[in-house]
Amino acid sequence: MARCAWSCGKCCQCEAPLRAQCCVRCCVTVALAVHQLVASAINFIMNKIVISPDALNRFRLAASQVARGVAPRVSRWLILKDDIAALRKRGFSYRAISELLSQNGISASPPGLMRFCRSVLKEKRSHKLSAKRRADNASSSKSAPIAPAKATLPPAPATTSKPTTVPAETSAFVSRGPRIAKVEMLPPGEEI
Amino acid sequence: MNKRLDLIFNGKGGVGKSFFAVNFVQYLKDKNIKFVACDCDNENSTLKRFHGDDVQFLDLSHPRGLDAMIRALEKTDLVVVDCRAASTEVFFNYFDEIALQPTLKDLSAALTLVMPVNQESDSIDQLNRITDKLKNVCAYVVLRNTVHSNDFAVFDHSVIRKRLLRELGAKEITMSKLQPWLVEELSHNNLTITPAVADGHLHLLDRQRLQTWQRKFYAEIESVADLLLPVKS
Repeated sequence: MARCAWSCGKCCQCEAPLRAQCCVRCCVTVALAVHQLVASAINFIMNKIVISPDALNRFRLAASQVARGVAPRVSRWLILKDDIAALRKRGFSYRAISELLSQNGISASPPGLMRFCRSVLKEKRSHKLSAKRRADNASSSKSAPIAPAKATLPPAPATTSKPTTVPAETSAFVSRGPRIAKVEMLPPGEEI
Repeated sequence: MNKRLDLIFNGKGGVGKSFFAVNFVQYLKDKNIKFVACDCDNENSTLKRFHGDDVQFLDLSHPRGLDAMIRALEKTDLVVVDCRAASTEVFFNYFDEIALQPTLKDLSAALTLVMPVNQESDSIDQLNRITDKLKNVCAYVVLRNTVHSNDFAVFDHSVIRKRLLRELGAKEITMSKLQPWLVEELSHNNLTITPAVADGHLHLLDRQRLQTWQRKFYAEIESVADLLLPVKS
């Protein structure tokens, strides 16, 4: 009869005296257990080496200092809430407002502004499609004459008020449109 | 002031700027008047399509794109520019940048704006915009384009027309309707009226129609020649 690798004479699983068919299985089980033990020991040692307590403390200190001095960006924009709301009401895009703020030393990304407008100004999500998606829809509807009912979307508004650029030299922003024709008429009866 | 810069100008599209320009340049050729013609439209360079190498292209997207228009005045007495629709702001900014008035004075040149209008309010509103900016810096010729309609009730009773005629010394001319099949024939073959008539390809009656229209058009041009052409020395 073969002997157990650990010379204990007992099966590691059932603790019964070893039999021939039991011994091999027992040795494999023991070997796997040893492997797991060694791996977890290595992992434990490595963790200890990679992040030393000193480094951990330094990081925690730095993190606490960062958190203490700076207000969240959104709360810093609260002072501009009315101005941003007015610009949005006049149809300015997040990008245009972001550029305007940046030109005046206030960093603001368009997505950040969008989140601000939605959370603070309670703006609703726009259902207007991007030009690319409109083009995609148009081309797909052309290629497939019978479009499903859900694919038909409301048409884009005839006039949009999207300023694309902001004058760099002035702090007072001048809108470039829209320009709606308004012809002033002479009083009735007056001839030229 | 013996030189002349003629801008065919109205921010509204489809009012007849290029149609006028094509026929005005043909008038200058027929009358042997020296000129430099420029087309600013990068998308539909109609003036260049009809007159080819006789027209130079001005690239409005280039910061010095309009310099060629002013530089041409140094060498010739008459420069004609067919302005692209929706380019009003580009021109205004350029005029501010180069200080238009003293520049023209240095060149001994006068500016005339030929402003086509039709029955649409947008085209009439553009006159407000233009005159508010340029006031009496230039002369004005209002081109009543009757291609689509003879009804000018809005323009005729507008304050801007009164201002143009009474305060700014503007003059009016009319561009009559040319039969649509003739417009199509000319456009398809990139022909102006003079070569189309000389070509002999068209039927006698259509050639007569073209010549009648052209005579009227030339008579209108000549009625405002003092504003459109350089002073003969």
